[in-house]
Amino acid sequence: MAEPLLDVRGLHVRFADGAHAVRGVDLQMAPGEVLGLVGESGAGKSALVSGVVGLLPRGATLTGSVRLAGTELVGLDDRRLAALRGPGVAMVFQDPLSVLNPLRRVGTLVAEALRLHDRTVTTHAVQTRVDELFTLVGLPAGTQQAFAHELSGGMRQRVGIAIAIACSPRLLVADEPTTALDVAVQVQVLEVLDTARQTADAGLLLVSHDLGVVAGWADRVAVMYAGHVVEQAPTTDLFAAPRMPYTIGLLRAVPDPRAARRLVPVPGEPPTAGWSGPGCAFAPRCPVAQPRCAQERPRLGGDQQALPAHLAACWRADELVGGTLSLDDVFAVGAPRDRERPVPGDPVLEICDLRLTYRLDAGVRRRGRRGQIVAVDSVWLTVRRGEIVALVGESGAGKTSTVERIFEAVPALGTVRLLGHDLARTGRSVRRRLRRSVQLVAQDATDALDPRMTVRATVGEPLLLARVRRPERHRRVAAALRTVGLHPTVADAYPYQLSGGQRRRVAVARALVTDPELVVLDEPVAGLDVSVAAGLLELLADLRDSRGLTALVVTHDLAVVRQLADRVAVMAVGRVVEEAPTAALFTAPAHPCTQALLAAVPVPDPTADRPRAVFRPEPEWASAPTGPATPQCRLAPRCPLFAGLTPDRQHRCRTEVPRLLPSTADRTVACHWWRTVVPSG
Amino acid sequence: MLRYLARRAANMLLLALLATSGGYVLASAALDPLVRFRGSNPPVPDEQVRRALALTGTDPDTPLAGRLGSWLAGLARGSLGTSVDNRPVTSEIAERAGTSLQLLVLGTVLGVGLGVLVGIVGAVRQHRWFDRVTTQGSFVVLATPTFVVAVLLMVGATRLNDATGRQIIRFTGQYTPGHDGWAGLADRASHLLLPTVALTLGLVAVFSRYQRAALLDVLSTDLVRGARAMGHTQRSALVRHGVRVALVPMSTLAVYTGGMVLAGATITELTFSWHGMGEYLLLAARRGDVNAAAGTVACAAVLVLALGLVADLLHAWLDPRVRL
Amino acid sequence: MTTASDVRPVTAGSVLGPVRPSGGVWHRVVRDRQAWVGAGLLAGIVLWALVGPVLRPWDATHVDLTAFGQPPSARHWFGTNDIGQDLYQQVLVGLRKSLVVALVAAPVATALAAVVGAVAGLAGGWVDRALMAGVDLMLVVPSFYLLVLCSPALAKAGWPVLALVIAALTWMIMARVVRAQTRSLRDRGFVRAARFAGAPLGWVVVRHIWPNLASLLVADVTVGVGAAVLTEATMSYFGIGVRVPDVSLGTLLAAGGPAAATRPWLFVCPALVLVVAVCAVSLLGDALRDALDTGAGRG
Repeated sequence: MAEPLLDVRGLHVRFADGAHAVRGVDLQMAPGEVLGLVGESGAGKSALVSGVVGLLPRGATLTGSVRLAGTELVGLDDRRLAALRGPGVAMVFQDPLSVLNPLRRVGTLVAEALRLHDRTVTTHAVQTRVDELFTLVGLPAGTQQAFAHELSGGMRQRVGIAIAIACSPRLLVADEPTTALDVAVQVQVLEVLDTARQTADAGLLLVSHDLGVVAGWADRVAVMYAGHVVEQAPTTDLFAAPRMPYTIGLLRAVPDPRAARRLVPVPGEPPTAGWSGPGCAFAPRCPVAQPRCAQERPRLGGDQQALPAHLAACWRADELVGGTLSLDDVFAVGAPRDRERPVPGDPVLEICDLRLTYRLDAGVRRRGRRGQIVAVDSVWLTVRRGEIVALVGESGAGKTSTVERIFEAVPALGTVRLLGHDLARTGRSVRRRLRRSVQLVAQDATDALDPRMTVRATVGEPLLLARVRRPERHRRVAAALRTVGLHPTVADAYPYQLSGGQRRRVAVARALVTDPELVVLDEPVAGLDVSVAAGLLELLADLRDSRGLTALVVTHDLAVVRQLADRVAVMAVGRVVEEAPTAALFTAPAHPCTQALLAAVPVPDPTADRPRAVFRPEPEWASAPTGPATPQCRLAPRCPLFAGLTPDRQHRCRTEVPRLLPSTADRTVACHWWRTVVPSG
Repeated sequence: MLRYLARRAANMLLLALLATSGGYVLASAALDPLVRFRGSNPPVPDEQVRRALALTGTDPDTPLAGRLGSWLAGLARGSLGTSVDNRPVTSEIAERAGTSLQLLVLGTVLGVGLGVLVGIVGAVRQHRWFDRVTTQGSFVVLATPTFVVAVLLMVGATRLNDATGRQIIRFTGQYTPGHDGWAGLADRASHLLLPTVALTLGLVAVFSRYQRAALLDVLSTDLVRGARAMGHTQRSALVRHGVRVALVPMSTLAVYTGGMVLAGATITELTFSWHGMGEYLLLAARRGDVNAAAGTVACAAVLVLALGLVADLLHAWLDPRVRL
Repeated sequence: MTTASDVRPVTAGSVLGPVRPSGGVWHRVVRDRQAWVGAGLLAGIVLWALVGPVLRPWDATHVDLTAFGQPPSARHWFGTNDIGQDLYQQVLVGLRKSLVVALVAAPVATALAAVVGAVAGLAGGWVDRALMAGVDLMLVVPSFYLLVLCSPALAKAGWPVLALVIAALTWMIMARVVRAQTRSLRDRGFVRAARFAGAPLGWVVVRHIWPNLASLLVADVTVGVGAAVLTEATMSYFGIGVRVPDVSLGTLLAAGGPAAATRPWLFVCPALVLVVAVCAVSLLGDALRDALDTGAGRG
């Protein structure tokens, strides 16, 4: 490497509460390079980048050296650092809504970023540059007058990128820039970020927990664990031949949207930020650890000749390179599940042409208009006994509200049949009994459990509601905990005493304890670290294979769908647009919306095609006007297919709502033209 | 924006009407219009009592709904009825409300303004001496009833006057009779000093706490980090971005604080023996004067709602998110 | 977070439960110095209110014919009033009355707020709108005005009714806070799951909402005691609260007020006791609230 753009040496970050988040990191970046930084939560990624850009919270201390194009940043005072932030190093945050000043128009925010570093610049020059920047990140000029809350999530992040590259920084740091976004939008934002980086000729430090994102966009990857960089290599090398057991575990824990496979959960949990010890931090969890590993910490090393180098911090890296230790010796992948498609049983849940319109509760005027109508507009769905059906779609497509409202309110239009009973026509007591045969596993592990209840009380609550007596209740709670792989002693613990993975398992146990006919899983692994998610996905697959679990999985994560579901229903703007068996849907998506979703999914394999943005950008505004709907396909404005249609065909999309019609024996599609036009690219 | 304000105003008008009616009903239930005829010797003839009650519209033989109806009808014509001493309540309240407003407006503006300032400085210099002193100080002030503060101020002023041998600070009533022109104005200002200090002190204590917490809230978000990432120093990020955002939640406090501010002002003027609304209400309660009491409550409701409207305007001006 | 000793290999099939130490609001409270200062001070005051009288030979009504309006001395620690009664004993009697009124008023107000706020927040819809419209309505007129208005009716009723009236007029703001908290709890997974499983409203309130707001409610009772002491004192000072023959800190202040400039101990002694007592409860309440705030977290 010539002069590195970024040269981090022996960097330590300690927080005021004593947490030692970064423990001696060395990291170099060449000019114009994209370095991916991956690791699970608590690995120290955010602390590291906050330290690099000088934005650590009060009371945190930074030691070591950070050189940006030769300039030492550690020890600079606030004013000098502030002058460097912008032209030297700029940052893109995870959640632009919390970063952008809600009281200023986004155009003026971008202008402010320019003026801060050049006070002599004329108003005209600023405006010209702001226009340029908005064009570059793909924002229409009209959005300059908008406030952050008026823009949709992807558009906000584009503003964040515009601010970051306003002063043409040498180094761009993006901390989980797309974690809050849907896949289709994620691809677009990443593309914008890449274009912006190239325009400014900046290096990009891309922090992500998503190995798929890193595989698609990074030139090199650094893996962090417990405050250390444990492996660092060119992206293709790292994915093809990892040299550190933790990396191996991580790669084998990630579900792949291209095919269902056995996942390997990394056992145990990472050490806390206060942990200290002489040895390798991963040793307690490492299947191939030797006595030496616990006594002496391996340095990041390896073949220094090959440039860029492939470095790993493991005493047994040489064995892995030499082939005396194989990847399967470290983390063996289980035998593939040979699973026949289940013989479809009786329908447990049938939803026919469900429409729900309801008013948003008063008082949410921050997010949108009061009384705004949110509509679920034609949902068809059948779940049969013994199968897992996935309902996928972007956030805001109406997935969760559909599922919950199904059982709460009697729909205005359409029918919901549970175990053959029409919910609208059953009496109250029957409906209550029917509802007990459905259990919900709510999203977000910390959220799903009442912090004031023991695990026993939480898991037993559905039984208590069904008036099951105490000894019987305790017996069944213990059985349910065993089913999800938890030790019965967990029953007396409170949620704060459990790890994220354990909490999620408790939530599943609660849902299973009444032996329900149907379990609704809302984003079952959202927010979980890769290795923990792998364990949960394997557990659910085991339950499916051994106990014939009937479930409706609501998710935006297509890799989860591929891993678990037998059939998939794709939802967009309140409608189910395509429904098919999982394998068929993934190999030959019919609806343009499905195609766009699949094209945008990041794949944890750098040799695969990079995800593409097939869909046109999302609407700019957070709340699209919801006037009286004229009959039309509401996807048309974003539809890649629509753009290529002849005007008379387009006319049909504009005037007729496509109905969900059977295309083949087991597939239904709601699109006028999916058969006739072959999408290009 | 206009639609938002119109909706708020309509909402407030309805609330005012309901509160006023409620006030009248409560006054009718809690006060005994016959109280001033009892125990008089010789007993007041029945006929005369009846006439007096009819004059104020408080005859207990008329059903409450009827009394409320005729009172509201009067209100629609701009009249709050007659008090027990046969004076129109409307003009009496107009006079006294003017007195009360002096203190209310001055105290609110000073109290909120200084409170916000103290809160901002306290949050920016968290845990430094200024923050410690104001935090402890507001604790003690908040634990002290307003009337105690007022009495202690008066004691202090008396001591000062005695020590210097001159009437430097005057504090009983609103003015000393016999002064007019510039001297009168100075005299009034002198009389206004202690009540304003007493009221302001309490409000500063309350609002500085709120403002400090609000700004610390903003400081803990990514907003300031974002501004710093753009190239601001910590201080300029705070001043240019943090403070204004932290002012927004303050304006939404109006619902809670309007009544508190008015109550504080009322207690202050009572302690300093001003002839304001508080005194009128106390008097009304003692004399069983339903009309005077209901009128005062109605006036208080309107004042609180007006404070709320001002806060709403400020909120709308500060925060584009409510300009719908 | 786990402790280092919990980091050990476990097989994927059986995930054992590492039970972690500490956590939760109460642990933070226990570690908080301010909470201890407040609690200690409060305990001291309550203790003093109870055993203070035996420290001096007189009772509150005893008239010392040798000391009319005397300043504090070794014989009369807080001095005497115009008719020679010992102010120390009178302050103790007043303090007890003030505390009792506040200790009745504050929990009642909090309970009202907890019921109305939780029901409104959880039920939503018209129930919510109706309850909150009522709360707004009560907030429109300052509670001091309503207290004055009610005062003639209270004249004969005695202090227990006074305490209840104070409670009835001071619960509204807390009800709004409880409602706001309930609404955010309503969107939490465990409440959604319980309602999804068919739990009735009362069940959810009692088993999920209240336990999760326990520290908020406790803090509110504490702060409410201080506020009620202040309200009672203010009302009694203007002659509409506690009335003769009952004695409270407020009535003592009312008696001492006119003489504040000439015989300051008559005013300053009860005032000081009042301020210290209110400071103690606010210190404790504030510490509880702070512990709660950091516990709530964000997002």
